[in-house]
Amino acid sequence: MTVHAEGDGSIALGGDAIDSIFVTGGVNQFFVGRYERLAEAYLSPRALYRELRLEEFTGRAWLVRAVDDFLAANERGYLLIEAEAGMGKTAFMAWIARERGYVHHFVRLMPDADDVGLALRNLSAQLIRAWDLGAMAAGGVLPANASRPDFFADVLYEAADRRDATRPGEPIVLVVDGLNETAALPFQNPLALPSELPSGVYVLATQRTTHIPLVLEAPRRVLRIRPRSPDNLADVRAYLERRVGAPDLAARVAASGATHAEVVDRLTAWSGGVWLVLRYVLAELRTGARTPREVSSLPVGLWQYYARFWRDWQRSHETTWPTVDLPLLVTLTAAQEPLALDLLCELSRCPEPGRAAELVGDAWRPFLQIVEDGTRERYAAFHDSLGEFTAGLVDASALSSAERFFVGRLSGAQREAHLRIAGRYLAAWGDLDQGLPSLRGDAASMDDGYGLRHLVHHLVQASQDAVLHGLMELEWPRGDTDEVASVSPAANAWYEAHRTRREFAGYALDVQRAWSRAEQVPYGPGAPRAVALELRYALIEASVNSVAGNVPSALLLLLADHGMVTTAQALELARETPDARTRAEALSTLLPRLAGEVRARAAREAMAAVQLVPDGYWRAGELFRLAVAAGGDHLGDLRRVADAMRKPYERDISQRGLEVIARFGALVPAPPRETSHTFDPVDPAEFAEQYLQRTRHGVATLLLGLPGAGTGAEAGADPGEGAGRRVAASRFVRAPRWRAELLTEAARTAPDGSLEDLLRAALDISLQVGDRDILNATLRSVAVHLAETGAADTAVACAERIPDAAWLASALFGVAGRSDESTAPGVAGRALAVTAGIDDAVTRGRLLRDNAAHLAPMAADGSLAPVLAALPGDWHAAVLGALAGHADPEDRMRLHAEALEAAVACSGDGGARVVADLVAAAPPGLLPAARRAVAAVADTEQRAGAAAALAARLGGLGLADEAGEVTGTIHDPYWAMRAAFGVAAALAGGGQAERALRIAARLPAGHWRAEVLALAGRRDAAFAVADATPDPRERIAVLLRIATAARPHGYRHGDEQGAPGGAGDGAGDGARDGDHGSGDAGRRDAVTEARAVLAEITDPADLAQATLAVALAQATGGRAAEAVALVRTLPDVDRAIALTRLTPHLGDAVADALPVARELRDPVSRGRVLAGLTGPLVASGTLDAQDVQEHVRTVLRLLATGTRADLLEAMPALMPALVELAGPQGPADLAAAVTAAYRWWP
Amino acid sequence: MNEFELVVHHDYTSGSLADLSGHGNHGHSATAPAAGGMPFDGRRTHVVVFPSSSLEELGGLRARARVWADTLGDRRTLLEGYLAFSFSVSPDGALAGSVYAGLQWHEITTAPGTVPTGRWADLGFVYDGRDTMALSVDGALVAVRQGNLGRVGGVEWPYGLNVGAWPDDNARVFSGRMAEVWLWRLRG
Repeated sequence: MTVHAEGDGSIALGGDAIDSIFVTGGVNQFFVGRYERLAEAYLSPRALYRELRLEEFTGRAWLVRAVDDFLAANERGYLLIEAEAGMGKTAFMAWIARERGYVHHFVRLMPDADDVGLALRNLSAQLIRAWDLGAMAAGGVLPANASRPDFFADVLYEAADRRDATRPGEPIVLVVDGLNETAALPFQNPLALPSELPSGVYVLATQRTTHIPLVLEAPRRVLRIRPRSPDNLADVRAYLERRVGAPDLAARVAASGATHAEVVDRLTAWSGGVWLVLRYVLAELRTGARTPREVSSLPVGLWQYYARFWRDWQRSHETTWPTVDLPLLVTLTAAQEPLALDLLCELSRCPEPGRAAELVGDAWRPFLQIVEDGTRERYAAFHDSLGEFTAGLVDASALSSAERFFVGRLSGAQREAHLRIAGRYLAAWGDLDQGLPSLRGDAASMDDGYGLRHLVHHLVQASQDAVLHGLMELEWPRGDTDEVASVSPAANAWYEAHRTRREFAGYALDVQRAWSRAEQVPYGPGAPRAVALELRYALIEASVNSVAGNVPSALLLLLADHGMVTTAQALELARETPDARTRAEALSTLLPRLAGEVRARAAREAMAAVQLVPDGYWRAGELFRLAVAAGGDHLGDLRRVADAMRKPYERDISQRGLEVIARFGALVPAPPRETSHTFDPVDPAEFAEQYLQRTRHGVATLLLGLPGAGTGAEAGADPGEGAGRRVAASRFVRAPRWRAELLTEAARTAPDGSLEDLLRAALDISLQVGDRDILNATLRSVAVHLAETGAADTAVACAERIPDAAWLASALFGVAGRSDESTAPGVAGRALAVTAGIDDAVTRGRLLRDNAAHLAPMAADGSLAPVLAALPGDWHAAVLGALAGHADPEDRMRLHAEALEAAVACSGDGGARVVADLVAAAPPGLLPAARRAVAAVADTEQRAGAAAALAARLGGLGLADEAGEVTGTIHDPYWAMRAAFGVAAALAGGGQAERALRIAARLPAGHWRAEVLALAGRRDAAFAVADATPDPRERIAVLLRIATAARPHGYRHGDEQGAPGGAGDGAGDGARDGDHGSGDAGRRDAVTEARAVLAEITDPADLAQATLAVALAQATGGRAAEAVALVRTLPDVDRAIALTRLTPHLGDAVADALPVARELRDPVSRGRVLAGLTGPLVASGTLDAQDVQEHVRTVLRLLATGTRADLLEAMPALMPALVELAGPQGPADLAAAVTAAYRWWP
Repeated sequence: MNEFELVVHHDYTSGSLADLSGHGNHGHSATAPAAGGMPFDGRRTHVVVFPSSSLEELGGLRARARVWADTLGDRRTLLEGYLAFSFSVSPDGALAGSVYAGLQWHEITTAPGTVPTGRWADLGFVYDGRDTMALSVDGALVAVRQGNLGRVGGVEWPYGLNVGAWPDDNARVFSGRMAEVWLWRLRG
């Protein structure tokens, strides 16, 4: 419902006032934010107050006392007033909000009750004005993130701080009416109300007696208004004493022959304490429709009253009931906002508008809320309970069977109304099965946009699920349009219709509704289809979150100056930029092109964006840019932003710079310097100049990559080349934002003929999501997972969706590796063919090397040979070496020898790199050749690296003397050290302890010595190294090396963080067989000691890293539960990282990790970690099938709050659950959803 | 298998900024190298290598540079990967290396005066992606630090890998010449 109120009235708020309030309602941009003025964000309740006749408000002293007692007894908290429908909750909240000037929000005033952002902006606007928090809304404009719960929380805390400073002890009370009327988003309280409150802040909220998922950490009390309680009945009686004695009723009472007291008694008893029925029946008494004596014959209770009234109405209006009255009634209650009579008649197909006018204008008036809209009136149900009654959402036990039958017919009629309303718009837009062609035009906005806003709601209420999901998936091919930018091959029709009208919030809510509808499908036969839909909605939401809108400011100016966009369009594009700094820059840059109110508004928006820049240095830089562009306007607000800087240097330089700008209108240019950048310059002009230079430096850096720009490998290209070639050349930059910046700069110097093409390309690129590699990787994972389930054909089909050849080939190799013998050769053959077609030789070589295990059939049939022959020598050698690793023993030696020979034959780094790889795995029979190959490497650095690898290999084979000789040839100190350690560790592990210890004694790093000592069984000496290491960070490193030595195979490179052992090592790192430790050393546990040493680390960053290392050591040592407990001590960000790293080692401790993951505050991190736990959870059987479905739903909901990249990166981990729920169809549905999302938002 | 993989190798004495590692990580600069190496003017000269797949997820790294330092007096960058690692000479002639891990920079440094001026020097920095950092000068180990830091991320856009300068701007620019630079990343 939208209430429009205009005028100069004001609402008292905590001693302050909001003046001249104009509530606009309607459009707001959920995703990119809307820069509303405070007054625009405020939902005025004045019309509601009139409807509620607050001047007649009576009683409730006991309720007021309860409120005051709660405020007095609690330092903060939630007081929830709970009552059934019609008990006067809203009237009380309106009265107390008005009387005491409390900040207030009435859900029934929201155009869409589920638009959380609207509620948060309303409350924030009031708090900001009431407590003069100008810095939270520079220029009187709410920032773009004002729809977010975290912004609202900041406002609450700022208000509390200001209160403490100015009026300590004064409670801040937020009145929120109708919590049950809004649906909470997943993982949020209704209206995203905070679970914690600052000191002295209270929320006074009302709700029905239904379960509301309110998670609170602040104190909470629930106060129930019971209809027949003495207090409530006394209030009813007091109210009736006044009303029955009023002139308009007194005459009716007198005429009936009853006394005032009798009528009051009768009505009090009859109402049963329900206030709403009094409103209705008093209206009947006033008009004479019912006499006071008839009251006693009425049924008691709201639902019963409705049933009696409307059944009586049907009986007494039999001729008009089926054609006019019933359709009008159910349309009124089905409609989602007050509607004018002509539209009501249209929607209800009313053949008698005159009768309809009579009904809403007179007989039904007590049941209606009437909103004046200029000269017209618009109508809605006065109370939600009427809509619930007509929808059949009543307590049926309170009704007779005849009444239940009547209600059943009403609810059927209301469903038809929803269907009729939905059908009206679908037909007007050209029908869904025809692709809704008229939705592209003005027809989308018919009925003031009602259909666009509410079609999805009506489809949900009409249970038209197939139509609903079909609408949300409807795709329009991109045609010839005059749009500023259209970068996708196809458009999601419903999104497009909203995007062109800036109705982002409406679209987001529709996605939520459709998604929720899919989630209502319980576990069972419908689950696979539901999961497919949920995947799709998660991807839609994440995609829309990710639409870049990163149009560089320089590009905006060029587009505008060359007439390719209007200034208004340029401004819109600037506003869409999600990154605050970039948005501030874009808006400031456009200011000189704007005038009047548009300019003033853009300046305010730029200021709001500046405030959101998280880093003070960048905020100060944008502050200067804006101050200069604004030309002296808004200096007061700009000074406030400067004053709020936290770091002294940034605050000081900002304040001084603004003073210079205030005096001269600009910063006086700094004198030239020896270098162009100094750190923390004293002169604000120098700061500003350096800042601007730094923001340009990224682009200047990238320009070096364009042909002809530098002296790199591509130097010498024609600088006058065409736009197409420059666009192609820019592909070395993958991020859309930076490609757009690069092309914009390239356009500056481009010939006139190609300038527009370059600008258009830059614009197109800047509007892309730009996560193509992640898309490729996700589809590859899906394909491989499908192959693991045995669905090879589906896997191949999924792989073929991959747009890029290298990823396609990789996916096909992966599928081949997981397919049966009959399928694998064909798939591998296709992979080889795709690989052969790739231009880049390195990519081809890497693909073949990494997938050598699948190449045997092609090596045998000769199809591999030409592909190998086309590789450069080093990659040829690398692939041969990899083939050797997968060959039969008799072929292995031959292939390895060929590889070594081929590598040696290559000159340069590539061959040397392959030599190092080959000698590290050389068979014993090839060791002499390996030594010759190493010696033949020309580059000393490469030779040293290869020698280190060979020395470790020799040591591993127990050839101590040979290893020593090779080590002696290494002159580089690091490689020599690595080689010595490698040899010593290998000898120690191989039983040559004394030899190993002699080498270890020369090692310069204690942790390496300790590991060799431990490997050699000298645990006492190893621990002595630890004991002699004073720095706790270094001591932990030593201890973890000792722990490494305790595992069966010692150190393997690539072990993360030095994690020792593997699952199943058993607890601790106790002495191994042959341990020469004595005394305490034999019982000391390195990991336990490392855990204890953590307490000595004071630097938080060092502590986090060391904690992670210790936790990994615990987990890989079979103590995963301890690891999880340790990880729990980490800050949120580090905890998320640690849980991810621990996941492969959790085992049964996955059940311990689950609650820790659920405690992560950041929803995306929580989703990512939970997704990672999916495999272990499914494998462990911790979750049953229904739990798995819930788990998937939770993960999708969490990850959809982030970017599409966040979601896609987590998808592979979720695959076991998808298979569990839907078999191979689960991953296949995911692939389809990913492909569609990429098509709509590339 | 060798734990490190060479991903950048520039030999400026050849007069080219081309990458010899086989990974296509060529250098780009407004200044041309010469037979005597790549000249760095201490103010603006820098060589840029753009982020690439071989510079993603370094894990650990080994950097080496053969340089002739003319003057110190300011921090002089040898190699720096944007938001990944830094290898530089401090104003007092100490050699320093740092890695960005766990959202924090972790540094190893030598005593002042370790880096010579007016002659060719061979400088090395290694972090093994696990628990060891080390610095070397002319074939001698000059500093070792042990501590579990975890893996290093990748070289980020837009600045990429810079040779001879701070990636963000014309600052901390090397003064002298460089003959060759190498960068290895950890495998896997």
